Amino acid sequence: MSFLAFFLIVVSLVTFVAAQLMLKRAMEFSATNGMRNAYFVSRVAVGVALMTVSFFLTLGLLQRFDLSYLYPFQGLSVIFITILAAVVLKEKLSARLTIGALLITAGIVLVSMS
Amino acid sequence: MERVGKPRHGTEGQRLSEREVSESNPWTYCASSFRLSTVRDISTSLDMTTETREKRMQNRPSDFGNPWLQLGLSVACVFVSELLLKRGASEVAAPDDGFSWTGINGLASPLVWWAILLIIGSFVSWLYVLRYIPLSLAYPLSRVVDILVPLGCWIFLGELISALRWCGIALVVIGLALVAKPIAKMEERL
Repeated sequence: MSFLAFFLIVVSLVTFVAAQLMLKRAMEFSATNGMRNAYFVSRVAVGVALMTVSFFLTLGLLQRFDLSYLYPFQGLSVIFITILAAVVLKEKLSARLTIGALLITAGIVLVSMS
Repeated sequence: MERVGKPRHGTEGQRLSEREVSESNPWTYCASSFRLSTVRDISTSLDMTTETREKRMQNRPSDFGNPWLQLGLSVACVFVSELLLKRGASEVAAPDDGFSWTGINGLASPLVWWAILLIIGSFVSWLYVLRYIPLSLAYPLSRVVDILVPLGCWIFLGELISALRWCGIALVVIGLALVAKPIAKMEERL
């Protein structure tokens, strides 16, 4: 795998994780404040833009690698999102949830290595 | 458990007329109900406590508006779209063309367009899920796709699954079970 491919995989991962956090924030905000406000619209717009970048990068990578090999890299996002949800969004994180997320990540990495 | 369409937020919701309520789906209903409420301090909504989160999970609509159902729908859409994307991307693959790193030439395949439609569908469901379920729960659960996709590749695309890959799939299943079990208990209580 070339450096460029690795770099693009990382970029698609980072944009994806950032988009999820952004969207979660927007949806929580909309639950109390409605959807017709600049805060909600701008967060959703940025979230969608980030996901679009991630999507097209994935599409480009798919032309070169097997889906079953490439796709699980996104699995790393499980552990990133779980941790960042606790840190950034202040969600409650039980030991069980953390272990579960770690196992899912480990399993996905194993799939991508084979 | 309360049903969709009935006021779910006490006095605020009751201000909605019958017509408004009957016409609205869970999406617009939530939006309109909250618009009627007095605008609250932005900072309080950004710093949501665990209590408000749990309360919202208990107040969630049933039937089609059930966030767990929507989570399943979102996962199913993603699963099918991934398989379509691989088919579509292989169809138009031009690895020698430097521009193809961006993936934009994938748009030449109709399969890719179907996949995009499904992704938009899954995205709407996903936003709905985010409204009710904490991200640290919903996201690990949504990774059930990571089992479905290799299995789908094996069954529909003829890609091979090695022994090590099966082990990885097994680990994901165990992890998912760990994440999902407390939720199953919580659902029983409701």
